[in-house]
Amino acid sequence: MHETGVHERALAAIPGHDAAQAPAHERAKLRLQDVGKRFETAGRAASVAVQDFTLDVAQGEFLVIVGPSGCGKTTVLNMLAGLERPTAGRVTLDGVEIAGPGPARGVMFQDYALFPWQTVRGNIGFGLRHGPAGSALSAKERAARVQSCIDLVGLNGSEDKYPHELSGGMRQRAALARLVANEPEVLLMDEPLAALDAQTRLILQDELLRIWGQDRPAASRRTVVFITHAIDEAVFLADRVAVMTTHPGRLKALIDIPLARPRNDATRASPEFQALTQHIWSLIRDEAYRATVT
Amino acid sequence: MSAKGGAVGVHARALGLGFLLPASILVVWQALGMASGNPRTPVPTHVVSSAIDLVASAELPLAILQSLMRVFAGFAVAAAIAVPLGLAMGAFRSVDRNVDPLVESFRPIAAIAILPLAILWLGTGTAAAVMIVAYAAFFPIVVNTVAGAKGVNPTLLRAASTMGLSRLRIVRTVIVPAALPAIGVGLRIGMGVAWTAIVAAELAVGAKAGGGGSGGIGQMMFVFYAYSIELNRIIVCMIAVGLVALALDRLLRLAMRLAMPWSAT
Repeated sequence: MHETGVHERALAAIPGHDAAQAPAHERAKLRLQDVGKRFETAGRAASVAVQDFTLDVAQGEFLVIVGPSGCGKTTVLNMLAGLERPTAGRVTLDGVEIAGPGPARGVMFQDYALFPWQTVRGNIGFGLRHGPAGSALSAKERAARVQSCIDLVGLNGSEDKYPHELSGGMRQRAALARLVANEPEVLLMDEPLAALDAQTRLILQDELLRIWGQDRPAASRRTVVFITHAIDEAVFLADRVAVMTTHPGRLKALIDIPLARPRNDATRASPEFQALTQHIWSLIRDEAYRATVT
Repeated sequence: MSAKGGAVGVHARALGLGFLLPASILVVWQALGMASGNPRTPVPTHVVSSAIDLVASAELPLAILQSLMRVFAGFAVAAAIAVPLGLAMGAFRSVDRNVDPLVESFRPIAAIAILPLAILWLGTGTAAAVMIVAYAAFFPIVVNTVAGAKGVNPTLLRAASTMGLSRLRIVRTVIVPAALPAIGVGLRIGMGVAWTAIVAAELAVGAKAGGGGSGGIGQMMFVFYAYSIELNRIIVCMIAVGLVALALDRLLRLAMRLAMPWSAT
């Protein structure tokens, strides 16, 4: 793989990396093979959003994609969600080609995408009530699941509020609860924390890892693909960080983040954390700089 | 003057200024009417006494009630067709492509222009008036419903589809509630248009449909115009039409607010 060099350097920089872990491709949950996506616009040259993108995401892995804006991160996520179809290559879940959206792959959107006419409780239970996720459950079981998700994200007392009555952080908690209520096998998150202020963001990063199950054994965790433009957020959350470059969107490097779990504020303060953040920044600095002057 | 008294004074002055223009118009109208020398010229004082007569004799309330029944019937017919049709047009492109040219080519045809057809088909009674009202109210409701159904935030549709909902289920659970505010606007405009149309319809249809309150407010105005020539009473009717329209709109707005507790407005 073309990113192996960076991969190894990042590993070498961090002592204590668990070398016994099996290679990701052996337990690949999601697989992108030579994936490309061109957008055809009538009367204009087609734009290439993503090119030659190959990546395996292991079962239970927390994979974060970072890159400057316009690098095609969201397009990759949308193809995993089945909201967009690749124009080249294959995208598979458990070896089966992804042909459209489905409840096995839950998506959390940047602007929350809460239904304004539903209360917090109604939003969290939406997929259970109207989608296949709750079809095997009785009304009582559904209500219990919704309640446990409300408890999980700490929205007790706000269950009957409408989204417009919530703060940004609470909306994001509601969106997260709705995502996990459907119990998807894969969680796809498109810059879910980007609109939040800095403190709320740090708190929700911690919450996200708790809900993902960083205290539990790796086998019982869900697979996550998380998009962000914040490098420190990527390093804090990820098992691996996929760094993308623009024009066209390609995978530039795949970097292991061997920081011990559970992660917390001490992780953020550690020199390893700083070193990894710096390293990733060095990979995209030139492009990020160019993006600010063009 | 105390501070409180001053505040009250400012209040009274603001209130006075607020009614300065309407009050001046009434005064000028009264003066001009009296100066004209023609006893039939309506003036505010005669309008008020006519209004008292018409309400006391129950003529006006009965006529309004009669017209309201027709408006509600026509409006209900319009809404029952326009809302589902508009939702289907907004949600499914194939329906839109087929129906939109029809709607748009009929839309410029005024309700009053189909009056001859309505009378031919349904006679000169309530049924014809209801049909004209329904025709008039149909277009604003359907156009706004289509706009509402097409204007749903696409992220909400994507969110629902990633939860595995079928397209039909998405229409019911996402497009319909998301389009409700636009449907509400369409219903409010439709109600206003329906009320306008009933006056016009009864002017023509009701003239032969019997006397008294059964003709509705439109026919009542026609009688005052064509037979008894009572301009003061026509003015009373005009004011009554305006007040009823205002009340209907306020009622619908209240209903919308109750139906959509999530909307911040």
